[in-house]
Amino acid sequence: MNFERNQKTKATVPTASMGDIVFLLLIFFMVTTVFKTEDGLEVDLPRAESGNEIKRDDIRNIYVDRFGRISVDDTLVTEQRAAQLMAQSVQTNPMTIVAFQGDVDTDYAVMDRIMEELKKVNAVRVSFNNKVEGAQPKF
Amino acid sequence: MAVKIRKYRREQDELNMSSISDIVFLLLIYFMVVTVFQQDIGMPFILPAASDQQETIRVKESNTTTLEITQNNITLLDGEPIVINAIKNRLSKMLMENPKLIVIIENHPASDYGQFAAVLDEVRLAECRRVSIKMSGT
Repeated sequence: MNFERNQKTKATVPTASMGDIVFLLLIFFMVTTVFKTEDGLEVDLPRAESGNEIKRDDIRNIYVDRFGRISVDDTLVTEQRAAQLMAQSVQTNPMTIVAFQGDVDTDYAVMDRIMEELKKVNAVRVSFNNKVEGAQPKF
Repeated sequence: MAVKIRKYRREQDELNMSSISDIVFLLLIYFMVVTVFQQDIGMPFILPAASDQQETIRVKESNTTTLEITQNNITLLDGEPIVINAIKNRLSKMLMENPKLIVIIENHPASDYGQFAAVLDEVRLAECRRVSIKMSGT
């Protein structure tokens, strides 16, 4: 019996296209990934040195711009409505932190009105959010 | 004269592509590790709940100090104008003398929120834990 010892053709899996496949996967995920973000309002946040990191999962944002407009979940709302929405969040998650994304030029009265409404609905954990970069030049 | 031109190359020139996927994976993992998602930074504050307001807590006036922000965004510490930068040091000194100190930040309705945030920042830097926020005229 005569067995052929040396095969002439090598059995190989072509791996040249592997890179293309990985790239395709990468691009697919890059395109389909949607980061959950809230556009909010355009605000110039105050700067502060003493800010703490706040857990994202617990945050509900209230945007207040320099014209005194209030936005929650990308809709303009009144102070009362904002507080109602926060109260709903507090019911589902008692650790909810109401984050004020307030503009430096906003009148304090607007913030006070919101805070008074929040007190009424027991949404008492708030945070005055500030810019990530260092301290503001104070005068 | 006969020139011999080789028509068919026996060996094919080919780049070895098998490692490209490793390189791409490495890049992918590198960027996954290095990417930092922007964190939210803020000054936490607990408001007094409306249900607690029946039982008003009485405090000695000597234990309080008032930081007032006027309509023109001028900060007054117990009636005296003060630059924001100096608040931290002044308050830390006052805290050393009286650890029971309560800081009341009193804002004029027309004052800017930015000014309030700057003052609150200084109060926090001075490590005052007992802070009260109010609006003047209420």
